[in-house]
Amino acid sequence: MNAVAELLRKTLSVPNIYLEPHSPQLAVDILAVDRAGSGDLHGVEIKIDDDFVRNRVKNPANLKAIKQQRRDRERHFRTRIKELHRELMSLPAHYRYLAVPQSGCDTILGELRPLLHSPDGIGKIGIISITDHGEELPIAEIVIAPERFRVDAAKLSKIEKNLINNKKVRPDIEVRI
Amino acid sequence: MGGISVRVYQDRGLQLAKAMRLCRYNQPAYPSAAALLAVHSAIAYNDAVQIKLTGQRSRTQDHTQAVAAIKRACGTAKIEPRGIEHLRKLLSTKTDVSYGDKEVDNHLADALCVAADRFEAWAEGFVLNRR
Repeated sequence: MNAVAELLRKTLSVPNIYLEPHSPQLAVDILAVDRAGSGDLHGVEIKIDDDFVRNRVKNPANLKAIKQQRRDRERHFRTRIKELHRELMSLPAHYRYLAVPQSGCDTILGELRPLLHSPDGIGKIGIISITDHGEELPIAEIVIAPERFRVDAAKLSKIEKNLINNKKVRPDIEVRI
Repeated sequence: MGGISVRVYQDRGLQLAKAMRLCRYNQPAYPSAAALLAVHSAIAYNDAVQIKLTGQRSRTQDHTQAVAAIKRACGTAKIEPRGIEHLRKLLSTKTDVSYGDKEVDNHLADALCVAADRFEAWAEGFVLNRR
């Protein structure tokens, strides 16, 4: 999460960043609001490899069972991608990102790439890859740049009221003045 | 005139700040370019703030007067002038980083970029998009 937050801090204009924000309207891992909290909303869902893998089942007994297990795994993976796609498309954020480990990025993109654009043509999901560097901090990079979505004004105003403009809630990361 | 001009200067400030970040976070970094962009981003944001608060841009070449003018404008509009100190710092280095004989090292560039970030955050959050 820190690596993705750092990427947003460096690439957006003086963003206010909320880690796991408490907002019923916006279930994301990271929310960044650029221009010191007065600009666009950038929502990021972070998924690790385990999010795409089905719970381990018992060892297959024979070749037929191995093949069946592989088919089940692939079906589960595609189902998870579709669920994730639905979640991302319904986020009330101007920019929507999926952050995944670099090791699984190509496989996930293979399934997700044709679905990145909004059906109405306005908006595209961005992809962030996270590379593990052992003892050092992981590094997050944007591999597919997002495009701006339309956002429902009523949902946006609820988020502004409950989170962004709520004086009781401070961002986790912000530019100190 | 106000609405259009504020947007012009605000966008200029934003673009210069984005370019500053590209220079700052690239490896290897470009400290001289980042420092110069930090100063000019703040100058553009200062113009946007002036136009927003007074309807006109400060045309003085004297940096002390520019800082005094924005302080006055904030006082009249009852806006907390917290960000202005960062502008003062940036303007005081303008001649050196633009035309000076000394090299701009990473430390100086970092300090100026932080100041520019803070002035931008103040301008955007407290003046230009005041809630």
